[in-house]
Amino acid sequence: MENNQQQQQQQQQQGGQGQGQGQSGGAYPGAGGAPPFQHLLQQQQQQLQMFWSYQRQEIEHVNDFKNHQLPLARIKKIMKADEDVRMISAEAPILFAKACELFILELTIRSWLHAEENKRRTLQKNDIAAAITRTDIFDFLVDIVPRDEIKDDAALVGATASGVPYYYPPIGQPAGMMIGRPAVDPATGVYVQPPSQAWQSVWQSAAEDASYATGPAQGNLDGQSFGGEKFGMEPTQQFASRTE
Amino acid sequence: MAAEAEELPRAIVRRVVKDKLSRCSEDGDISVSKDGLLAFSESARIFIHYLSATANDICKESKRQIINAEDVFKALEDTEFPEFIRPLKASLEEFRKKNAGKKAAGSKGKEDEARKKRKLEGESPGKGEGSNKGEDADKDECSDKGEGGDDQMDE
Repeated sequence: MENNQQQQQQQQQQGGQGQGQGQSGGAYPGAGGAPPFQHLLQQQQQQLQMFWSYQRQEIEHVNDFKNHQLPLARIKKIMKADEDVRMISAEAPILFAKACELFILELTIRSWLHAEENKRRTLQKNDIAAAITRTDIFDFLVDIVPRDEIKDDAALVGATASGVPYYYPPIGQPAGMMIGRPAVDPATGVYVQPPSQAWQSVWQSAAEDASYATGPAQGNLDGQSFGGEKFGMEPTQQFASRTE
Repeated sequence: MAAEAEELPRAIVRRVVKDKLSRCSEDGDISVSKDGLLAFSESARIFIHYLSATANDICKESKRQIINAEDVFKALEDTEFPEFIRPLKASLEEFRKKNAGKKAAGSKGKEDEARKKRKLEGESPGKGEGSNKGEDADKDECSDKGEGGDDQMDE
């Protein structure tokens, strides 16, 4: 009798989780003979094990849904920034939020590895750049986080103070200093790196001016509008290869 | 006129990164520089573009208008992120269950009425999609449109 109850409990647990695995003798009438009973116990042990390892994995991978990490509305906006993208099912942003999170996790681990290699306890942009360079599937990012061949603090093309992403050169800096002057000492970092605008203009301005592509500081910015070609997005959208 | 690109909320990106980092190294804190965080943020944003563009292509190939879950899964394969598929499917299941639960439970009458009303008013193709009325409204709206079976869609 006791065993019977145990069985039912276990089955309820499993059933409750939607596993549908606890089918073994759900209506098991009685303890019966020893052999079938043991077999049953074994089976359920197995199922329990599977159940718990599944749970562990889920805890690793699946966040509690209430902890909605990334805001769906924002994600939807980002998706729709691509004019090509029209209608999105209600489930899509949810998938994207989760995918994004997983993606960040992947990028984090790999960046951290690089920081570790360099015995640093602070993740820096160049760690992320390294992770991108090293990982094939991150190729689509290669223009977003440029790999500085020289020093980190050096060449980042600056954006305008007003934050207009498509315009270069930045206000207040004589254009002559930057345009087509590979002789510019990269180590001193001619370019000022303003806080956040930098990102929006990095690939844009690099794409704009071929002269930058040749300088040593820009060695890896080939100036292609990868966004436009690869994804079929409007080049003027985000990854401008031409000014509006 | 160039609109600034929508960014992902930095606090959330930071949280995701730091949570992971704290698991990467048991001894002491790894921190992230400001430009590092920015890099994460931007990379994630581009990832969204990359994935949606891919999913969009897949959707169009099937001559459909609305990007659905299957398109996204296929896109993950195409972009070589197949390891995301399983956890994403689990997430989706969770979401569908919760949704089903919500629908079955409270305010059914009100919701049904509201839905009928929306159907009557807003059956014009693709109209509702563009507006960002907020998550819940969006959910219901989208799921009622043309591809009615979206929420119950099997893999």
